[in-house]
Amino acid sequence: MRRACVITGAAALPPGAAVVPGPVLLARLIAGVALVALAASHARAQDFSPPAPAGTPAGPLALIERGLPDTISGVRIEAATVRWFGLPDLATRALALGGGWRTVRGAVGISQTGDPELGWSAFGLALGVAEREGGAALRVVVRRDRRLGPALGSWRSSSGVGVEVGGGVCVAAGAGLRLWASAPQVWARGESPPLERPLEIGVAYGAHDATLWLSRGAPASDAAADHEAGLALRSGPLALWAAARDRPLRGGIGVAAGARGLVVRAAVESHPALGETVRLALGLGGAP
Amino acid sequence: MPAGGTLLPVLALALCAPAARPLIAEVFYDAVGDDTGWEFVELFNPGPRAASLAGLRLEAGDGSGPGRWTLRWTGGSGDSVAAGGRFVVGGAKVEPPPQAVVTLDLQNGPDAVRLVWPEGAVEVVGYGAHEFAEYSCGAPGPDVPAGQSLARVPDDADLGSNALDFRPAAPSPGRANRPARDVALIAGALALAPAQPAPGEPARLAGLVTNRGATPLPAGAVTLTVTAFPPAGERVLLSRPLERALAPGDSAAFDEPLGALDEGKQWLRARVVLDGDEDPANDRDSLLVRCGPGPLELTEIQFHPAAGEGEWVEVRNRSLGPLDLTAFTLSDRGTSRGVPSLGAGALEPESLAVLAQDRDALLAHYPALDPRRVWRVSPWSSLNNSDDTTGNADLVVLREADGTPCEQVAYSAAGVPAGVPLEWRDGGWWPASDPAGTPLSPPRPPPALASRFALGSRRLAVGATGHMAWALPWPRARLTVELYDLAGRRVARPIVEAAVPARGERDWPLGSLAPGIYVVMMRARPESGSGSLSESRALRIEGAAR
Repeated sequence: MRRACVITGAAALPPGAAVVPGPVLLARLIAGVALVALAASHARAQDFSPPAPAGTPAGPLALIERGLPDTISGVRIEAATVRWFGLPDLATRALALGGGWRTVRGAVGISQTGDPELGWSAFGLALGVAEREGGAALRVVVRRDRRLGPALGSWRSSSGVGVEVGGGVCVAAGAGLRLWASAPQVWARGESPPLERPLEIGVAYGAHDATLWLSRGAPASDAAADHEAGLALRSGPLALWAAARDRPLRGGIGVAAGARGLVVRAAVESHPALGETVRLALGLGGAP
Repeated sequence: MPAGGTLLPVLALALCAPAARPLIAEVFYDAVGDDTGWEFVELFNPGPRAASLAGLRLEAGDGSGPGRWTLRWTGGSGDSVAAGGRFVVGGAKVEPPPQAVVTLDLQNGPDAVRLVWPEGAVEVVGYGAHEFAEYSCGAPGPDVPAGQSLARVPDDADLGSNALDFRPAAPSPGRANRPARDVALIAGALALAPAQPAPGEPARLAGLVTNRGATPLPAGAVTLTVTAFPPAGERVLLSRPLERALAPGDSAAFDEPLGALDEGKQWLRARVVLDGDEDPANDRDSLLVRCGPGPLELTEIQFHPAAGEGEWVEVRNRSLGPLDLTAFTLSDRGTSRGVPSLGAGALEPESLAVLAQDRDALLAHYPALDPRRVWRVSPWSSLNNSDDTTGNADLVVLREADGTPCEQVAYSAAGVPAGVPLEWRDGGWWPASDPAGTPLSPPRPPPALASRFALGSRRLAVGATGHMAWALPWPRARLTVELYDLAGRRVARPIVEAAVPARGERDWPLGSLAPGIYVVMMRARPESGSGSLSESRALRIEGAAR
């Protein structure tokens, strides 16, 4: 079992397996990061949001959501639910199937958010490559308003259907450092996504069983940039993490546990005005 | 030549008033309206012995040309002025009656009067800007406004020119121009606060008192008395020594608690009392006030019309009988008072009427209105659209024709959407529940809500106008509504700490808000007391990806 963008620490398997990428691959990845950064428009999406620390993405949901692959091969299934700010009419349910063969990584998923009046359904697909030195993936999400009904023909409707294409790239920079960039919505057409998600760039540093990360989300519209900092700790089959974000300042904690191929994740983020957002996920395959 | 240089000014100083003679102390030449019978000239004898006026000639001078002096009065053999006494030559309407009743027919300045003594001594008092030197002694005195006299202050002043000796003053025939002891209320300065107190509400009376005498008045020498004259009968509200000392010429403000007034329309009469006051005529002033609501009340105020219909206010007859609206005035903070016209008939009890800046435009904008109940007010006092430092934009004041306050509303324009009138409901002035206003109709009742907070629609197109409504458990509250995107970032604040009634609704233009899912968060707290609540709703703004 391997992970792309390997770092030492909580997200690293096996522990202490830090590597230095080859200069050619490193140059390619840096160029890729730069291209994505230049091409990124304001990002939008929140359909496949897993309860996982930003510094250590793992699983098919994260691959579809952010375009960041890991090095874990084999077949994995992941189901998640998110309750946004305690609003009962704004809950997300998602299911994703992912797999890896050699360096190729892929995932496909479906999700549904909100009630029939204002909610939508989504279909997501991501495909990429991952090695120890780094990885990259493309992701596509198609959304459709729930009020259009279940008829398949409604997917071709010009109103209430939208599509977005984006991707992510990560690179292991050595000495326990890992860099990533995710631009989930480089291209979008049709009905607007529910949230603008601009380019996110981040750096993680792992040592022993701990990982520290920092990330910055580019400004959406005329607003300021977002920032997040977090710390993840790992001990055997158990992982814990805590993160803090700005605009407004808030924090969250998460926990993941795995046994015999079954992984359970949960995270809660507390917003000073809106209340708590709770994420739960259950996976088969992979590690916490 | 130091001696001569010193003597010349002294000689000049002695020229205006002949030595050891009575002198001109006051000239009243311009009464308000017709002068006939009101004019007078007062002579004052500052000497220690009585002075005979036999053969004394009082002449009036026409300053428009040289040598135009005409005789007005000649002293008889029995006319004299006691030591320190006064002798008034004046018209039949002068009070107290003059010693010599004469129609003086004095001209308004620049003119003059003079005394010519039998042995040739002359005293000239000129007023206004003169072209010819014979009409004044030194610089002439001021040309005083109608209703005031030209008075020598102090009464024996003789400083070498009319300009130095005389000044405008309230007419005081037969009395000292500057008495030794005289305290006065400055007319028109009385003010009640609040201007129209509610029944049982304590009120204060403010005003100005001045020492017009030559003697300093120590603290406590002057007593202020305030008496109310409600329909139920006279009642003394206040009798209290003023605690401030007053030097001659000084004025002082007072602001005294009166307690609660009797309900209804009434006079308040204030009086200052000073032992030995030589001029009691200036000791009183009065104010017509009302305690409690008047017969006509304001129910809606359109201070910022957006469709060219002009400003307007809606009024309601809260009395038990019909009201003639032409017997009322409407004004703002200023002094101009508009009078209603062009409507028809009396306003029946509980009925509504509209007082409009532009009656025709209003009727064109609201064609269903009954034109008989729409009145034009002229002149219309334009109502301000933005708050000043007091937190209010303007006042809307209804008065009866005699000036009695009927209702006064200070309104704030803060948080009132453009074009939306203010209406009285739920015990306060709030933006109208119908943004178009409801002239001649009661306020539209807010919709019934199943929860504390509701959105008119959970899906809106980009650039549309949203609608929100609330139902709070407090009669008055402070409300904040904020929008957050799905990442928890605040993107808009449609309402910020606005004072709102328990139930209300508000339109909200989305503006340039991007398509997406948002959380609308309402937070409220009572305007007084503790407690708070918050509720949030999901909102979807539809639009194409950008």
